[in-house]
Amino acid sequence: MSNIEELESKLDQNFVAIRYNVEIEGPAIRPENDLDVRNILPTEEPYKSIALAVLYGDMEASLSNVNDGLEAGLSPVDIINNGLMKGMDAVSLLYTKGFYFLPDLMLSGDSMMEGVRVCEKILGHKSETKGTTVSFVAEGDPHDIGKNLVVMFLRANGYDAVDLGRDVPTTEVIDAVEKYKPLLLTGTALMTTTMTVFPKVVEELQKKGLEVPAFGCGGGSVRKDFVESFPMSVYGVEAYHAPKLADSILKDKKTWKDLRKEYSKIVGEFVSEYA
Amino acid sequence: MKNKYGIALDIGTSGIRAQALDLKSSKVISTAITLRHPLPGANVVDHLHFAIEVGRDTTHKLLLDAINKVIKSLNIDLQNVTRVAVCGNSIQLSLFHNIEIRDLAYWGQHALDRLKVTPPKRDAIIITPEKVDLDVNSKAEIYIPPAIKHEIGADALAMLFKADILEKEGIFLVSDFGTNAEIALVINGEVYTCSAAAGPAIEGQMIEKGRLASPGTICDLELADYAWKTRILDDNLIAQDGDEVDPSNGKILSHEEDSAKSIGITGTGVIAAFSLGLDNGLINLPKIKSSDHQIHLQDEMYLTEKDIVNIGKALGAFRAAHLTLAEEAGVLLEDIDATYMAGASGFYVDPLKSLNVGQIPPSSQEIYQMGNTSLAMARDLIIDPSLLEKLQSIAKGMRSKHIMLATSPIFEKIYSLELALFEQGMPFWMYNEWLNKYGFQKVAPRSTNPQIHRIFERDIPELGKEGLHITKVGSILEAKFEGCTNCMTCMEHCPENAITIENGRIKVRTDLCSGMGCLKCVLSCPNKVFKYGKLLNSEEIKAIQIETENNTQ
Amino acid sequence: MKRFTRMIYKNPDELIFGHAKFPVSERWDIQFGAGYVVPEVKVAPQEGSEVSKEKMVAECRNIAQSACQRAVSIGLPSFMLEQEHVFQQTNNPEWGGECTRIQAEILERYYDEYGISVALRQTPADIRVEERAPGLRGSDYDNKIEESMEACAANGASDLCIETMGGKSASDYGISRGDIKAVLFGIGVLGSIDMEYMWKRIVKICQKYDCRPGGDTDCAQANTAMFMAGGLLDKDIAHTTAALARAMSAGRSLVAVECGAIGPLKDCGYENPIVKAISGVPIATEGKNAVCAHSDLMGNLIAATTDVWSNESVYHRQEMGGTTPEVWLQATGYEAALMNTAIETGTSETLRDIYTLTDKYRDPQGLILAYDNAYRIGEAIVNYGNDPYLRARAAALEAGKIINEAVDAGKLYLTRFERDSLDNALKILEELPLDADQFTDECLRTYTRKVPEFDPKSYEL
Repeated sequence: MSNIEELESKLDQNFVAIRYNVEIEGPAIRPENDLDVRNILPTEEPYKSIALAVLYGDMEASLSNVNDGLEAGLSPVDIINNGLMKGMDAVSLLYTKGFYFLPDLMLSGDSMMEGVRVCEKILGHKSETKGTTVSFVAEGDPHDIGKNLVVMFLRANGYDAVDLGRDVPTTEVIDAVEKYKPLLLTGTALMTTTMTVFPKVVEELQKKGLEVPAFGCGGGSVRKDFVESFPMSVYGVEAYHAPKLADSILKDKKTWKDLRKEYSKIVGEFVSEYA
Repeated sequence: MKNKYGIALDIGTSGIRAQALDLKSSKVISTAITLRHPLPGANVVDHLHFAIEVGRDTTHKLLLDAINKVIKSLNIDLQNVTRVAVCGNSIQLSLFHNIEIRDLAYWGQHALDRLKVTPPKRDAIIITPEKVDLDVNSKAEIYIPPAIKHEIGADALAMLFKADILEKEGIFLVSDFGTNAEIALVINGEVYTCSAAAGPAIEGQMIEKGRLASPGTICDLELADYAWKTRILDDNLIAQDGDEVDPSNGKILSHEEDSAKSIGITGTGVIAAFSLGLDNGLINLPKIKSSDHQIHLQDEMYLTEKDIVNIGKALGAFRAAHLTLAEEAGVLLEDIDATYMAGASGFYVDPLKSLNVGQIPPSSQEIYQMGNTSLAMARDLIIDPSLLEKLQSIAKGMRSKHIMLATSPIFEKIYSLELALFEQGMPFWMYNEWLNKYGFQKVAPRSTNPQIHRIFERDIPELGKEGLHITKVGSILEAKFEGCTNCMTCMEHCPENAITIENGRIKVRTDLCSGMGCLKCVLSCPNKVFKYGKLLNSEEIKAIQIETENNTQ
Repeated sequence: MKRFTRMIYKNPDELIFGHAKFPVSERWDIQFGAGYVVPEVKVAPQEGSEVSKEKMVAECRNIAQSACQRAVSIGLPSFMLEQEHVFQQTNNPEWGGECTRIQAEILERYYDEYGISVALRQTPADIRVEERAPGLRGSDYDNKIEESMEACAANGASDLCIETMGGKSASDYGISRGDIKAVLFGIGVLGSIDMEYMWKRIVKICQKYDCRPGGDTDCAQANTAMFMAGGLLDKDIAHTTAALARAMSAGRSLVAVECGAIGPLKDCGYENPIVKAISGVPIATEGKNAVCAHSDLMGNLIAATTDVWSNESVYHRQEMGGTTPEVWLQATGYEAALMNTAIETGTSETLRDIYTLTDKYRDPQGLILAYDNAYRIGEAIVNYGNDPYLRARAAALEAGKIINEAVDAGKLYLTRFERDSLDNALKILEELPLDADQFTDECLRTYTRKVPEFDPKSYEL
């Protein structure tokens, strides 16, 4: 051992200099090295690589990994559940921790969905999901960023989220409810002029004798008191609340009335709008 | 011979501005403005929504009542007015002209097909006062300038025309900052436009202590050691020194004897606080790092974390819009030769702070603050009515491409970065890395020595010898609702105290009412009988009453 | 011109303060790297003195006089006085000449009277302006630099230095935008080309006189990155990016030596330990006693391999303890005394290691300049010694490797910003072409458009 190594071994670095930037922000770690992420990620290949490609939002790698897995004879359902979804679970976790941000989520979501599509092609039908949801943007409204986020969060959490797009006429919404019998319907609007279709949607549903467990309404100018002025509806505050509402409908058979009352508890955080 | 007059009118989302001109000398005689729009609501979509709910005629009448009141306070003989020119965005001009507006209220074909709406042309037109009930000499001509395209109105034409860059070589960025910002990127005469829904925060609305620019509002803040020196608008809307306050606790460190008491914070004041707060670390998005999580200003004014996120998202809409335009046009924002800021908020804001917070690209080198270009173009029309034809040919001949931000995949990607920045506190270096990852240009670093060209002292350069008159506007909407029990719930729920109930009749003051963005009256009504759409202008009620009386006779 | 393709030092452990493989002797009986450390003082003329030649000459005389007086008052065996020119001194070569003459006179008087070993370093300013035609080469400013060099050499300077700024337009662009390719182009390619142009001429001038060609520093580029990176909490550019820029700059500053500069290399070249490891020339460095000029994160570490210990720069003014030439020479003088005591008592290696360890893990840039790591970067450079582009690239890649190893060993932790910036930069560097011409062509296409100040003609490209 040379002199400097011997000296270094005696030295507590923080006695001499503290890297306050690291102290405050925490040291950079690779996302897969986060302890909680480690618990989620599969350890065996090729699921590990498939999950990692989703974690890194690497669409190309995701597709080629999935294709390799399929060629090797793995079942598409296993690839989805043990690979793609595990990767997405890890992404959601890192998002909650504030390590990942919205764009990470969007990129990973796309990578996962591409993989799922390939698997479903082989499968010949939709894969098993937790349930079906339907999302739309109000007629006359082009602003769909909020809706896209809702759809992404729902898919990331294992729902088959049907996306009707933007500027959707009420009749199309009704038809979709009839066809898919969703456990959650979501409508978003940015403009006050267009949010007025929400009560009309409910009216039309009732006319046809249709019902959804909850109709989540949200977006730019939409407010809680407006949403609660007609039945079947729940005011949605954040896009990432959507899967939690869906979960509570699925598991605990909650209705729109329960969701209005227990919103904060169901989404698991303080929500000032519901305080 | 008596003097002949012209009136230049600008109908903005946040108020009406009018100027009387002597046609012989082309000089401004007087100026009258309102500090809010006569229609309820905080933004142009609210106005639109109101018009759709209450009806176009009633809305038109409310607007014209207000305009007539404003021009009355110009202090000239209105019978000698022979020319009127009016400018504003397509919604305001259509409400003025009383033509179809629903094509502006809905996007896409579905709603318009269902409602059988045919979008009007909105070309340049000369109309008579009778047509719109404007109280000037009935023989006067009213000039309405053309919209460039369906989505992009005469106000945008005004800023491009006044910036005088349509025939110049080079890259220019022109923006009129408001709740709905008109932005144009002009590259050797080719125009890329978009309209960014920044939201009312940019005008100080939807901010807890926010206010439209008016006397007594905090419009700017300057660094004075570790304190912030307040700048407050005086009665002539000129910024004066206020107190020096420690923003983290509100302690007054130096009191300004002559300072007006502050009654609110304007959009530019919020931007100033945002910029200074980011610089000194008081703001660490999305948090404020003071013990009560507020930024404190003079006279117990404050900003909350929610305010900061709101203003941040509004500014983010600008930055994302600039980047989207540049990417669509295939140019780099740092190659822009000059940046033009139009409108009142583009005039009163400190451009260095705009650079700092991303309201204009940080790399901007030459910055022009143009003031109110809509009013300026209206003045030009008064002086030379033949300009109207020229504007029509400019509007039609313009090589322009409108980018619909709401449907642009580029904007969606970039705006999601803005959301991450302001709502989640994503660091800015990561923002740039993401732009890079998406294959977009990065935000170039701040220009080291930006040149600011601010020609006038006020956004309206000449007030005239009669000076500035501030006109209060507002009418009363009235109705009697079938089934109303006089329970007063609507009155109690109105956050603006706009409602009174007299003899079973509901009266709503439009200057106080927040309009379609609020509707707490409708929503709180226990019997569900409060119908906002049934509210009518008091005078109309009188007219109807007279009609009914006549009928009974 | 002979490029370095082999290390002069054969073992990093031989790198130590006060000793260089090729010591340098100058008139007035002074040696550098010959077994002792020489303190240096450098003081900038106060503002206002540039208005006339007379004021400037008086100012320089006073600076030299104060420094000499303090040196003998506190018993320094040797010291170096450096005068870094302000614009007017270089732009008016006769000013520079006259200032040099008067300072040489004073130094010589003290040398004669007390036998104190002294040196006079003159550093004309690089006053060229790239964006003004005809650019860096052949302009009036360029000619003035040459004339000024000659005037200094002729009037008694014992060595000459300069801080050339070739490539700065491109590297500034890259540094402010985190564009590592532009940084590499600016430092590795353009900087190296401009150094060759400048240093061949300086060496020729020195050969005519009893004056040594000292060395150059990448102050204009790598120091810009270092200062923009700032303190630990600043985030304008990542400290890892600054560390890569520093590694590249060693390849660039080595060119002066390849052109015939013999040292001591210029003080603010924080890359000097690497250049010393490669070439064996003595170096000047600055750290904790240069806090009057700027803040760095390796105040002790950078002393470990020094031969001339400098204060960088301070305005000529009065402090409580005397004038600034007195005060700051005393600061560097005592530090040199500490090192010389260690040398004489056989404890220099321990002191060197202590210097190193105080800052080795404070910041990534300090880490790569620790003598063992500096040596490794030197090896990476000489591996590609014949190609200025490839050797700068190799230096940066090696620096990245050194940082990553320290992170993996748990000795240095990075923030996410530093981590991501480093990963991105290394990925880009790894994917760059291995052919210098191809790289240069690519960069010319990109940066001629993006960087308006950049003029390929200034580099004969």
